[in-house]
Amino acid sequence: MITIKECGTEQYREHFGSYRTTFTDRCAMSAEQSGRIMLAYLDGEAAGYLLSSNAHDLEFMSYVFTLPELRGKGVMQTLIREAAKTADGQFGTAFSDGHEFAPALIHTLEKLGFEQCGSKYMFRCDGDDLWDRWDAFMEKKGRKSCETLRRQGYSTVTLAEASEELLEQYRQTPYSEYANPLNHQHLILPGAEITKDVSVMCTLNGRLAAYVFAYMPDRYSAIFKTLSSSAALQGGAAILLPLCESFAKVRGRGCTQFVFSMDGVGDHANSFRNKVLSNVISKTSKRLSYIYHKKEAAI
Amino acid sequence: MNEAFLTKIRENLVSHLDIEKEALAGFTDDTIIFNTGDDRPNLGLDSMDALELVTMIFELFGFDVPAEDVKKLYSVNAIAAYLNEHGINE
Repeated sequence: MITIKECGTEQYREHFGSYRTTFTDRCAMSAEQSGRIMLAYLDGEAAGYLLSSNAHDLEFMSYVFTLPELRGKGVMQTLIREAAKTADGQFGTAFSDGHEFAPALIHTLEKLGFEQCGSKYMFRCDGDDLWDRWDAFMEKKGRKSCETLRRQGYSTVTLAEASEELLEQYRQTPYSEYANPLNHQHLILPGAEITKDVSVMCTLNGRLAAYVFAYMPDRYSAIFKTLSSSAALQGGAAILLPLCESFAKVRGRGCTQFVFSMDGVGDHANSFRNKVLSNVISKTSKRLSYIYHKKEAAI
Repeated sequence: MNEAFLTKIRENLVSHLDIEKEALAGFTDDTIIFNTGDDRPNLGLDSMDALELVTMIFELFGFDVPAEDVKKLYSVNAIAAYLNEHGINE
């Protein structure tokens, strides 16, 4: 028999110590602060856990795990069903389609009534020659293009140093006026962490033209959560300027690997990916988002 | 329009930007150079190419095209006419 209990990080550490990673520890800490840690017991023995955190009106499942020797006994399905049933509002998750357990997770989610609500391309950028590849692009085209943008009047400022007026512009601009906006249903990690001094906004004549928001969970890694530009200024590649600035800042901190995501639905986004980002991309996958609507699904 | 001026723009456009060879077959000075996203024939250039075009114009003619004017540079003839308006014709 499978039973589910909510608990703190102590029980998570006690029962799953040998399977812990930096990522799961971070998810567990976030879950303890703003979400839930749920443990599953199979005939009284700890068998798996689920970690979630709350972002806006969504409870986001950041990790679900079953001990290898107890897989195939319905532990994961019971954990997800219980979490979705008892969530205060919407319950969702997102994961890479390249993960070894993605097919099983998709099967379980769809069986429980979850609906796919989005998919984004995810790009992993790493390797010993990561920054050499970027330097080669900058030498060939990037530097001159950035100089052109600056001569056209574009300028940059970090999120940490942005004026209140600029931040207010960002808050007040409808998502529809930007390409590839930050959407809480597409969050890569729990919460909405942004590292402000590596995130860069770009302006033209005082108006917000483009922005690149990144999060550095540690000094070696960065997650580029959103690359976005004003629809009115699309076609001018203004996004290149904040991207180059942001890359320089994460690199200056010691970053050796990063990921970023794109909807990949627009011509501008696709050509920017092919012309610029392809210089640093090592691996491409898709990030799938699933949502559970409590009233509509028959769990 | 001065033919030598048009030739200079045309040849630099082709040599500086990544234009697909197949697209050049029907290339005239009125061909739309940017991807318009519709059925009109065009050379399929994108926003990064537009930026390179502005850089190219700066290097060739010492003139900076403002961000809001980039959309006016939609063909060889349009580029020539735009530059002509700003006193550049050779």
